[in-house]
Amino acid sequence: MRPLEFFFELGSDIRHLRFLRQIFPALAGLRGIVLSRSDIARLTLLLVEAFNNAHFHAHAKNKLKKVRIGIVFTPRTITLTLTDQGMGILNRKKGKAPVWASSGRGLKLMKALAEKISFRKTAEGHTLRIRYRHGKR
Amino acid sequence: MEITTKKSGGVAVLQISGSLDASNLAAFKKTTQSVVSEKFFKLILDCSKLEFVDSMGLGVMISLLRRVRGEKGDLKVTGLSKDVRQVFEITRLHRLFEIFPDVEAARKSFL
Repeated sequence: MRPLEFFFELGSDIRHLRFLRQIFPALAGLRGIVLSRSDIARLTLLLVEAFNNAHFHAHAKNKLKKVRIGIVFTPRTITLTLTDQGMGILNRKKGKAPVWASSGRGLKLMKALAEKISFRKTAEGHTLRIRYRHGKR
Repeated sequence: MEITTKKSGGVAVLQISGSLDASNLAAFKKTTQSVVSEKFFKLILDCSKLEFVDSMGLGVMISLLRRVRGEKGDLKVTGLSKDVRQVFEITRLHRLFEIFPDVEAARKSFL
């Protein structure tokens, strides 16, 4: 079975979060895509956190920057890719924030929800790749 | 996101509906700052209608918790859905916030 792929580009603007939160609920309704309620919730959070990282850290809130997003479905996994035009993920080695800290939890959340997270520099910027195994509880 | 506020007996109950994420933090801060400015430091955050929270939403909750505890008050959380509860647990915030099943249980804990 060939993977099902979606690619799109958004401006680096947090007003797009509302749209991003609707993506997986909408995709889950398509023929051939089976996602549990829990998968939808986790994937949505992964997507939002990754977009936040691009906007706030990679782009320093610069709305003129772009974020390219890819979503690839296979029978067992969903791979999210987010390519930014900036500095990449901040403090990516530090996945631990003190409980009382007001920030620093995004990466911790992504690592806990995803099967694998990788990060590489590209000619355009940096690409965050998140692999999620769906159906896993 | 919508927040409705009810105040009685020195306790303010803030019911949050929808999503709390980076796009609406300002609205959350504005409402909560208004409540705190009226000297309400015993707060209950009713999350029974909260569908989604991201790490930045958690951040403003923690800031609010710090603020009211600094005034000898507290911020208690109620009605977490399974998904939102998981986010709290992954980030260990279930150890920081007192979590109750409903508003009445949280209100009683202030007595």
